[in-house]
Amino acid sequence: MKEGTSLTSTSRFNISSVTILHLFYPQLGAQCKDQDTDPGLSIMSRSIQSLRNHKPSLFSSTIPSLSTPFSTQQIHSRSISTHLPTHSLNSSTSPFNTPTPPNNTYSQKTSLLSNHPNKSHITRSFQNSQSQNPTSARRNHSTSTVNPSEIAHFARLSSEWWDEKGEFGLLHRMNPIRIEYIRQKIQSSQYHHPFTSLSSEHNQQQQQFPSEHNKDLHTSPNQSTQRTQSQPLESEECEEEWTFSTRHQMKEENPGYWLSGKKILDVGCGGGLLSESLTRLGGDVLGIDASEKNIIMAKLHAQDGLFNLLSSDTSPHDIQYTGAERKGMKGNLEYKCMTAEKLRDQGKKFDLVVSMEVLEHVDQPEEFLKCLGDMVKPGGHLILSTISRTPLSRFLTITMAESILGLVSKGTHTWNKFIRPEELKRFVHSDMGGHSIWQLNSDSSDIQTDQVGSTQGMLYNPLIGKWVLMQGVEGTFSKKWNQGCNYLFHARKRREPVYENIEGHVVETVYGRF
Amino acid sequence: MPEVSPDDTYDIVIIGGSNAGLALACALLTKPSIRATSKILLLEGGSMNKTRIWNGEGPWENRVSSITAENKSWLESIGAWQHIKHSRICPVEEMIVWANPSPSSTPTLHFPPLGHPMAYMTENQNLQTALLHRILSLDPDSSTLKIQESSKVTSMSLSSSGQSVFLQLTPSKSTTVPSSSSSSAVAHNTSSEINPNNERTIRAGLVIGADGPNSPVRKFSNIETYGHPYSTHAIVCTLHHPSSPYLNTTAFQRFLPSGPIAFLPLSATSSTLVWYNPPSITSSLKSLSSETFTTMINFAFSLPETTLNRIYQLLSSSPPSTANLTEQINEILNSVPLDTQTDQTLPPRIESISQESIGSFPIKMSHADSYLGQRTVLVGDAAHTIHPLAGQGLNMGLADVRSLSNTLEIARSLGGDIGSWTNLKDYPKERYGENHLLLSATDKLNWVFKSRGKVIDGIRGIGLELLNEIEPIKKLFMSGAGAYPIYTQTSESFIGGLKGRGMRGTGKGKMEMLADGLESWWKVKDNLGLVSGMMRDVASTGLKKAAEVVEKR
Ligand SMILES: Cc1cc2nc3c(=O)[nH]c(=O)nc-3n(C[C@H](O)[C@H](O)[C@H](O)COP(=O)(O)OP(=O)(O)OC[C@H]3O[C@@H](n4cnc5c(N)ncnc54)[C@H](O)[C@@H]3O)c2cc1C
Repeated sequence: MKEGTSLTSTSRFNISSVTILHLFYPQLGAQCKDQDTDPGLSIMSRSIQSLRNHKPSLFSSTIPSLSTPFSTQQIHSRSISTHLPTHSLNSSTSPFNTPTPPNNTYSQKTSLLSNHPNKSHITRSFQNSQSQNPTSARRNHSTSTVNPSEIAHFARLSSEWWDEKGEFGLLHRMNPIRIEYIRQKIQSSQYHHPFTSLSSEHNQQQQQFPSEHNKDLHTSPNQSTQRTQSQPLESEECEEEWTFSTRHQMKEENPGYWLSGKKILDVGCGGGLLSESLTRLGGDVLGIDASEKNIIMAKLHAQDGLFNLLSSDTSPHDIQYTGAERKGMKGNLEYKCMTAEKLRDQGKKFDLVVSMEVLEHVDQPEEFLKCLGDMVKPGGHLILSTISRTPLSRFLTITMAESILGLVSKGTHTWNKFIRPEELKRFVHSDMGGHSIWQLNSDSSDIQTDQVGSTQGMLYNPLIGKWVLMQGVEGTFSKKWNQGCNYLFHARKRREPVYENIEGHVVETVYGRF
Repeated sequence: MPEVSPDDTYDIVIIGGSNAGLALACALLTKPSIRATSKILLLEGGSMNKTRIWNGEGPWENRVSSITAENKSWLESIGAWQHIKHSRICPVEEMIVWANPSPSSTPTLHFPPLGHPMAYMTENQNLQTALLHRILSLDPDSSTLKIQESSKVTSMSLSSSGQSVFLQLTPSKSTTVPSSSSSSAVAHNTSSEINPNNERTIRAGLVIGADGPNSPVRKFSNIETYGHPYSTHAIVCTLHHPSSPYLNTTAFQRFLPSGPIAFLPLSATSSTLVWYNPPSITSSLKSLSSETFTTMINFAFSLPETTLNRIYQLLSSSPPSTANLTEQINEILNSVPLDTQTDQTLPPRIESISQESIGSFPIKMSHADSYLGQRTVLVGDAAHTIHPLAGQGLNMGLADVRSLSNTLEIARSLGGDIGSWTNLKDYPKERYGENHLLLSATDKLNWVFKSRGKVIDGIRGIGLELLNEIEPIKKLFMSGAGAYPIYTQTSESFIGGLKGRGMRGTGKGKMEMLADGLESWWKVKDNLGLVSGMMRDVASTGLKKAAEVVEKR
């Protein structure tokens, strides 16, 4: 690990590079086969466990120099010291220093790969390739070097990963709600909102009486200038006027293909669960993952089913969904084994950047987040999901899984690595351009002027066997509680940046708006 | 793995183009996401010519079902009810169910008028034709839905990665149905490009078995069923009677020792009969002359059981000489005055029957162990067959269709793989318990009311009386029977969320009602010292249902 090299002095987290193995829970699958009949608690712990397990790529990415075969024991004994964070937001515990937990699951899986010719690629550290060693990521496209017997092996892994009743069942169940969240965020931005309608009226009045300040965009853009940049563009997308009587009749635009025409990046795509769904919805999707194993699994899966591999050997990346193509709206799916950083360095931009259940596994969330932010096109969306650092999540991941159920060995405080919603939102505010780059939420949460974007909790309800998207008003106890474990984050980039005025305040604030 | 061209690849293949299959196809076409994205094939083993050309004229069909108010309003919401031939449906405003275990006792269950019809008697053909026409108006150029008739699925296999199903299709033997000229409006929708001599393989992301009680899809999916035959056959036929000053909108059902007999209104002067008997009696009855059978039906509603038993003995003991049998029966019948017996409200006196409409069907109760296989789903009679005495079979199928189509739409609007278990599991979750409750309640009801013996007689009489006494149980029965229209045009909000089985208009919630019902039931039961497996079963299934309701909240 290259210590210190990735340190960003401005980071809210202000942590030097850490070499922490993420918590790996042993496979619970063997212990509770039928998760449908599991009592609630074990389901919850399974949920946690699945979340851990479903991103083996990113786990592996945090393991330095795995080009040598390793065993659980070795990993376990690799006690890694880290710098204590100099800044921790509102917790006495550091989010980022933990001893190294063992990982039965992944080490088993990885050891299956130990004869892989490109083993070093598979186990390449996310971090290594991320910043210091761009060349190390060069040998990424090695799918073609996989031989047939390995394909069979990967097919088996893939079917394991895609087994909905198996180990990753909870992840499969989480998928619909993640897409629902994306839908809400993307589609709500396409309608007249009562508040935006108000403000555009307001806007017109302003334009009738332009103030002198308008002329100087950079030093003191007032509301009207900044609106002329963003609002008119936004209203182009508006299909229907919101009224009380028509509010239920607003048709979903482009049903079934509401992502068509959108360029989407899925960072940490794993076996491709989310990517495939986004593609079916018409999206032009690129799924990336640092683990070659995952990419092969994802490709194998997409090739069968109703996804068609159109161009065969020459370009194994382009996959089209036949149903979508038939209706004249082509969804595209492409998988690449690479890191987000490398993609960013290629200058790629997307309408939507999603990264689900990844943030809690990366070693340098600050770099990672910035990188994702960079790849969002103006007007585009950034959507993440992760786990908060709360007593609830500690209870579920540590107390239940480790101490009570004994599912993981004690002393694995990966919990410290989790990021709280408000920390995330503050980070986007302080380090990712704040409100000059990202839009306000147009709701009461804008009162938190030091936070960018919105978050929503996601809880697994074992009774109905479903994840539920939790509602709640920012600042209330229920909101705080219901995003205490898994939560989603959304922020939308402005079409054009808005610059700060002389007082150092971002111009468009909740006060300016109403 | 067979090579299948993209043309032969479908997102959804529906097997069975009868009630459930057509309703599902129609429902899916009204779902925006499914419609925009999916390619659907409806496969029917037989010919659909009759469905295509049926115009609401001619004699009444003998397959008639009561469509509950709830399902009627749902059919309206998908635009299918508008295609129903309204001259051929009959509202049911009132329902009278009774038994007469002893001369002194006539326990009666009366469902009084609700202010709106509780159900509509509809020929299955009428419904199917309406659904087909709605399908054609929704998708005139078959861009989403293709109909393939006279083609049977003969085998199915899962692809190696489990992401699709290969189906082997063979043209049915009776495939030479001349395309009728009057069917031109519909004919273009059916694909006839297959070579009838050739088998062909198609591929589907999801196979839906709407293929009836002997469901091949269920067999290919290795789904076992639970249940038992009733050793009962139902005779159906069309009855004619003079119009009476009362509207013919009341359904009558009497529980006879051998099984129920039902009189269901079709029009002012026509009604349909469903009469359940052991197979031997059924065949004897069918062999009677038209006149004797007519008299028999009239007596079956009015005679005391003791007299009827004598006839039954005749019917079951002497299959051989029909003429003799008729004679003997007439002898008994002549010895009793027809309209002395009872103050029971009776159906209109029947004058004649349509001989050609007489048909009989074996009745069995069965429930598939699961509605989901690997990339297969069961709906309608493929998933469950129920004793028709409560008129729920087709209605359960429509409720299945409603639930499944919503489930698929939600999954598809979120980009899900609609054949995957995760995306389908809401459907059985919504339907299995509900169906099971109806199946077992109907089963027990049938058992209790047809069994003989003193104890059973007691329970039987009390059973009906109790049902009448205990308002909540009755209401549960009624709401289970879908008598309340839940779907209105604006109730799209039901999609995906609440189920349309609430107790509209009764101040109490479902749970409360159920609790009331159970409580008063146990009270009465204690008082009478009855240990009746029947109601305990109903109650425990009810509890299961209650648990389900709680889950859904
Ligand atoms: C006497 C009687 C009275 C009834 N009364 C009522 C009532 O009042 N109310 C009520 O709700 N219900 C009633 N029912 C029940 C009702 O009729 C059935 O529930 C309903 O018809 C079932 O419809 P379905 O579409 O599920 O199955 P079916 O009508 O059995 O349709 C199955 C279809 O699948 C096709 N098929 C089968 N195998 C294949 C194959 N291999 N390939 C292609 N196609 C295939 C068949 O050709 C058929 O068209 C009654 C039933 C009976 C017997």
